[in-house]
Amino acid sequence: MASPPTTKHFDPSHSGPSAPNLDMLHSNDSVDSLLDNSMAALAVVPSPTHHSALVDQHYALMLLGPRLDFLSKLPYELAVYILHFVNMHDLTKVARISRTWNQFARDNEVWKNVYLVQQGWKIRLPSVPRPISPDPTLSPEQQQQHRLQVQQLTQENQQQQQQWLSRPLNWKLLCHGRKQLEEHWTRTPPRKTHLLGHADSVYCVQFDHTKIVTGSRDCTIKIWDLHTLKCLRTLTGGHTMSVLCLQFDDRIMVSGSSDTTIIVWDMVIYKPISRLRGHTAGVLDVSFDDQYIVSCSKDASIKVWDAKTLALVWTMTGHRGPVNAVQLHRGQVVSASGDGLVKLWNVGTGQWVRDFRGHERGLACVQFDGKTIVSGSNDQTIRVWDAATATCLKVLHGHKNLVRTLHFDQNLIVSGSYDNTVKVWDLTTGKCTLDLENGHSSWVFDVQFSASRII
Amino acid sequence: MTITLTSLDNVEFKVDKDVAERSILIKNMIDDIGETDAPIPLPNVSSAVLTKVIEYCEHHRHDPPQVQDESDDPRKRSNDIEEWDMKFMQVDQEMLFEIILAANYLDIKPLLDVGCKTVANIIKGKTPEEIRKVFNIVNDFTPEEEAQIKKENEWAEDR
Repeated sequence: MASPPTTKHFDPSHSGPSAPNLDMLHSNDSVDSLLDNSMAALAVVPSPTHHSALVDQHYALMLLGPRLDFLSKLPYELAVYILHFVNMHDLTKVARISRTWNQFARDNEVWKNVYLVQQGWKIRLPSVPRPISPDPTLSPEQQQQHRLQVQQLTQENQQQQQQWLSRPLNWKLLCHGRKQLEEHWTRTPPRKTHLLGHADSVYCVQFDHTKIVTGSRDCTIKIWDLHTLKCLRTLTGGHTMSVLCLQFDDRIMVSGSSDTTIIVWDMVIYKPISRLRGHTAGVLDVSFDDQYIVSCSKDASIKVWDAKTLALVWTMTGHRGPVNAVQLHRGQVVSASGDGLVKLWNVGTGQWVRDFRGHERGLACVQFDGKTIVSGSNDQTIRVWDAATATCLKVLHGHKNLVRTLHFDQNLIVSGSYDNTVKVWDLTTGKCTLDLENGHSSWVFDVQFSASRII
Repeated sequence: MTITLTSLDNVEFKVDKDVAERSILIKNMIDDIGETDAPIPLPNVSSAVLTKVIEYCEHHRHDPPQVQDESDDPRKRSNDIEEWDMKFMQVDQEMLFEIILAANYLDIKPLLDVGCKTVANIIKGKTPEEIRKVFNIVNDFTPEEEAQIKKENEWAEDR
């Protein structure tokens, strides 16, 4: 009973055709379940070295026993299912075994799985923007016109999405492309393109899969085509001073300005929906989700607005200097201020949660993914923090001036500085992997990246 | 409540209901026909294999029930097998092959996964020659074809 299953297998009563003695199993039922409980509680997964020793042992054992062309003899779906557990590198070996194995290694489902297990490899399916209701201050005719425009655009989007989804994806090709991109981040010097058009400094930028949106000191916001790099639209008549910050999704854009106001724009028809007033100095950063819009200002306060009614929910105070950056993530807000502190807040209650102390000078930027906080400071460093414990995990040295902006995902941090450079860092090792020195002739204000681009 | 299962070679196995119901196939049968003393025939599974399968189900009888959900996590890894399962799976290829088929037929997803991960682990980190050797496979590519395939897939290799 207590003997390990390995030896059980070689017991002829188990592998032989004779009827097994099941009474024995039953008589030990209580012991069995006790043992099972303890096993389940421990969830014993062998250590990596022990794991591979067991696999080596099994490989040696298999060489001695009966051998069969395993995958070829299994039904196709099961053979392919086994390859779901094999990584990309090993698939290249499987492809070389034999003609039959080569077929399995070409299976699209297998490659789909390879793509999905790669850390940081994401796929974005186009989404249909949800229509939003028009500004109630507009006249009934204008409101009706707005509805029609939104309806038409939504239909076009839906058609596009249908076409997109009906097209089968070649996952192997996707993997190939993605792998190349990954290598570019560490090896290839990037190709550089410039957007020219704003009459004055560009303070903020965001892009998605089709467009780039920039906000400038010239009071305008410009929408650029990501592929042709042509300016598609210039949004004027909104802010009366510099556009300092913006964020958009498929439905709306929120922009903040030195004119102390925040404008919520309709991203389908590119018209302002509403203007939020309340800050007493320039609005330095904004961040929103489906529920809230969060803004921070030179007036040292952070304001939380209801994303649906656009009413002011909380004003959160505590910083002793201008709040330069703010980010909202699933009910939590992180803010970074000229007072040198990063603060974490609960957006639902408007309460302060904790401080992150360590930077020696004021802070310019911060980003938060729920677990990790990365902040950039006038002390020329970037710090990586554990959000739950407020411990500083890493200090990245390299910039020679204020770290003005940063963006990170699971693996990489891209930072832009007043030393005119953009640097790419490995989040886990803290090493600088790429240094873009000659891109800008002046201060870098904002940066964002996806797998293929840094802007 | 005890369930009687009959194997391909007509051997009767008496097992507790909760153990038998680790198999979704059997669980659905019991749900459909109601509790019965009549033996459930499993004409695709030999007694030797069924013994192994029951051993697995006995060990895992207190595991949380399988979620009958198509949208399971697409991320699959083979290095998360429990020690007990790894040792349980240290069987020869014929038995491993039969266990995978039986787990698939009986619809015992965790056992199927463990079986498939075991095979994947044997493949991982091996050279093509080592894989051919353990599965007794004849290389039916011409040297030119093999060189071509190697070249096609070079991008995906770890460098």
